[in-house]
Amino acid sequence: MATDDKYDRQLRMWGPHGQKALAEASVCCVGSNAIATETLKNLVLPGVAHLTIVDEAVVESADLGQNFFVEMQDVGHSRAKAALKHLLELNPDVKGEAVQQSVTSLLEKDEGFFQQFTLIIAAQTPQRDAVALCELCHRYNKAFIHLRGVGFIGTIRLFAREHAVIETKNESDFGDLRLTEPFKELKSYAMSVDVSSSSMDEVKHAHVPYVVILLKALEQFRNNYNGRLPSTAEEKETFKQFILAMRRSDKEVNFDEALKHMFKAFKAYTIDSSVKAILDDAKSISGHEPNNTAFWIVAKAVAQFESACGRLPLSGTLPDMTADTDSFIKLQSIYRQRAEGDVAAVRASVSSFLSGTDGDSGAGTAVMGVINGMRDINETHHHHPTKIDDEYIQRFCKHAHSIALFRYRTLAEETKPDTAMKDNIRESYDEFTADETSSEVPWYLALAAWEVFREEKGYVAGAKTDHDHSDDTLAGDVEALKGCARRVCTALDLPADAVPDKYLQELVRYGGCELHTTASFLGGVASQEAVKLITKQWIPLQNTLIWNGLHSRGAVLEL
Amino acid sequence: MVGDGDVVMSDGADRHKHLCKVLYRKSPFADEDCFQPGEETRKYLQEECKVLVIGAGGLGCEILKDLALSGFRDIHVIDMDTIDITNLNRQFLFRSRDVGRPKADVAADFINRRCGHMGVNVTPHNCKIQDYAEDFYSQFNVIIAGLDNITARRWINSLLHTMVEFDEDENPDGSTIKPLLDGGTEGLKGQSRVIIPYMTSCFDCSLDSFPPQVNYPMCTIAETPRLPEHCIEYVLVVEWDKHFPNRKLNTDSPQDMKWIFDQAKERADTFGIRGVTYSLTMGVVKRIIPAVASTNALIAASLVNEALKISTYCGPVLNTYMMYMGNEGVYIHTFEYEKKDDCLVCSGTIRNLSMPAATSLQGLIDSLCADPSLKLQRPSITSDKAVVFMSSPLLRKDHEYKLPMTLRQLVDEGVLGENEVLIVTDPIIPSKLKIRIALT
Repeated sequence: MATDDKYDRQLRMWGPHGQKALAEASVCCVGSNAIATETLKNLVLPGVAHLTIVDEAVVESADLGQNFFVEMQDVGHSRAKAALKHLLELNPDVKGEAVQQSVTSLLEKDEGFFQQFTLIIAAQTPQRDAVALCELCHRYNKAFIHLRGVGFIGTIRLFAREHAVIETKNESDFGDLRLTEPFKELKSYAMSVDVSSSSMDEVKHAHVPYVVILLKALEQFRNNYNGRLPSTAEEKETFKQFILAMRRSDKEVNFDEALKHMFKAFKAYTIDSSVKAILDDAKSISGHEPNNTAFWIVAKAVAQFESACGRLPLSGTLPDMTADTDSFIKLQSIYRQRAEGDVAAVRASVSSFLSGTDGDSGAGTAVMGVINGMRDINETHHHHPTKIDDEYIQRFCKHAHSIALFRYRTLAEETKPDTAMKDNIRESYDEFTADETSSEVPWYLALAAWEVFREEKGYVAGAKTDHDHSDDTLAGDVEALKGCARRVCTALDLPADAVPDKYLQELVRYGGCELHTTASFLGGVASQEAVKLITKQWIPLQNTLIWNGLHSRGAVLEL
Repeated sequence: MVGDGDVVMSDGADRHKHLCKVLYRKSPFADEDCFQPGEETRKYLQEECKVLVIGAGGLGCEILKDLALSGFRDIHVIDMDTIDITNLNRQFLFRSRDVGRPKADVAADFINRRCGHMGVNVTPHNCKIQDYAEDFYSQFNVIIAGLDNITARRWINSLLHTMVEFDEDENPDGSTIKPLLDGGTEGLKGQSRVIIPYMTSCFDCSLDSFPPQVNYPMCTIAETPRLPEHCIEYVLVVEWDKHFPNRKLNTDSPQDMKWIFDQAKERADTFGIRGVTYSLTMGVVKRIIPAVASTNALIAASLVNEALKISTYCGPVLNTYMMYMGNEGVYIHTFEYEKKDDCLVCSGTIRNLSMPAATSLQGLIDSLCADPSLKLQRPSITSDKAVVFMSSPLLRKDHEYKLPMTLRQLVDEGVLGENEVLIVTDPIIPSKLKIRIALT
């Protein structure tokens, strides 16, 4: 083996800082069923710090058939303890504890219990408790994932009061080359390259970076058009001709690249409106979530930078392009040095906020207020309370143009008729009526009815018997479930019969059964989302995924 | 506590209480003509159905677990690899003490230990898939592939197609059709697809949708390096052979990798290039694809979910492709991948090529290898009249003299006929490709 790091393959995705966040995360899982253990498996393997499993259930022989983390000898014993034992075997870095209690009683007697965790996962928790847990997560400012699976169908729902992401890892990133407003060093370098000089040899000419070619063509264009950017088709053609005039032969790949990236010279520098909104928010720093304190302090510094300079800190990365080594390295260092300068300015603002010497006494007090809030958080995370990691500031500046912020709706908001997302549901229902395969919303509605059924009848639809599978036995539940569905749909302003009977018949068929493949699929998705929430990298699910394993389709709905 | 009833109930109905609901009850979504809810279906799954899992890696470990907990009992797994420490972040059947042992053995042992009480028996095969022939593969009802490379996927896809027998009316014999469920992952993305030989599109139908492997142009890495990767690649392809002409690089040896890293670092420093690290060196040299537990889990679950439905008809089967993307929110795209009319493996058609008469035989071979929808490696060609070219090392030298000859000359010499259907074979796939060349 060429490395002794068992985390090598994932470090390549989320880096040492992502790994550190995982290694400090404490995850609580309500439930020790297959969905729970399949989710936790994928969090123990990459190395979360600590795991707490809450469940009063005892291992039954039916668990053996679909839950990998219980064994024959565990039958009759606490399932939370058995699951924990088998899960911890996967990775000696992870510690854990099992709490043999029902979530209902914990919520009643000791809701403060949930304050200690980074993330709370509720697997197969009935709606009433799930709503209560989500309210608690809202109050304590914890990330929350609710998972539900029956037969081939499942849902994954995320909640976080406020989730801030610096590294959104958008693959269609436009880049930050500043072609339309080159800073001084960049412009003077580009102008110093004399592409038309006959003294430049052929090889050198074919290796002038396209960034330089575009900057020169744009300078020429602006000299002719009052400093404007090309906007009409005609003007763009003129711009193209300026590029072609510099070209010596059609074998010059760097000029092909210039033509391919030409569009970047047509777009004036802008800051994405969602980024702008975050920065505006950051200016009034008090009142933001303490778990995002570092984010808001740096965002405030970046907002200040933007107010003063009219742009965000430069990202400082240059994509690879046809160029000779010297030109590329030179250009790269021009971007990098400028970015380092921008980081220094932001860093200085951050320090003055932290020491309360930014001159704006109001903001200073507000920041100190935040830092006090931060202390609580940091005590559990072992950071120095008055310092923000410099790498964090650097990462923020590098990705400033693509930062993102998410505020999730609670389960209570989702399930109360007056706050339900009726428009989204209606839209998805209209798609369904147009094309049955284009929306999974009937499953969402059917499951909502299924929850009502369980709440009212005290058992799961189709689960009255494990041995009698005849249609006659199940017909009663189908009828009752239809009644629940009518009420659910009516409350959401949908036609009472919006859910076709076959969806309800299918749910009754399942009789509350948990298929391992559904559990493992949901566990895979949930753990991917958990890693996003913990590392604060990538854009998380917004906010519900409906998984239809019958047809292997999935659809996202914001509820 | 375990009751006596639990232990003696050999059919495991109590343990499969959950599964039995979907196997014993009717479904408005299942195919009415095929799905027979009840005892028979469960018995088929547990007593007759035989599944092969190709690969005991990230996907393979998950697939084995999912099969064992979905009612399958007779499971085989084939993998030639041994366990490396970097597998442990996702290949959850392995522990650090298992490093160096064969993956198939350790994975099978683990599943048998935990699920043996349900009658599950996993049989390991520590070898390459190419080491076995039709007679091995024909014993299975379903084949699930969790592979990390295109070559192995093409081979098994092609073999399963060649195994299908047709009657005199050209209708395939259903018992010779073996469904192939193929999965793949990279980072937070993955896909699963269902291939039913000759019924659906096959792996080769989508061959040209795979981007060519990133290879840095030689002139860049030699003359105008800009990225740390360029420096590493240069040391790998140029300097290693220069310094160790008689020794193949061992990418698992820390000494060898350290040497590559040191040289690349030195080269980068000379050019003022930053960012050569040991980790990056490994990534470039071994073409490492980032991998996490979560993505493997969800793709494997989807594959076994399809295996369960395809084996019992208890629900509709994926038609034919599901793509999962977790890198920007969650996006799942399910669609039918269309058959390609002139697919080398499943269309059975003759591929018409037109070539200048002055093309050399070498030129013809090169173009077969370069064609993105064929991607051959060492083609052999036979005509009705003669062997045109053999690529196997033993036979090659008898035919090398023809390589510079033009196609016109070969026709004149009677090696091949103009517009004749030629048979092309290649060790990369068991299928035979038919081509017809019109000389221009």
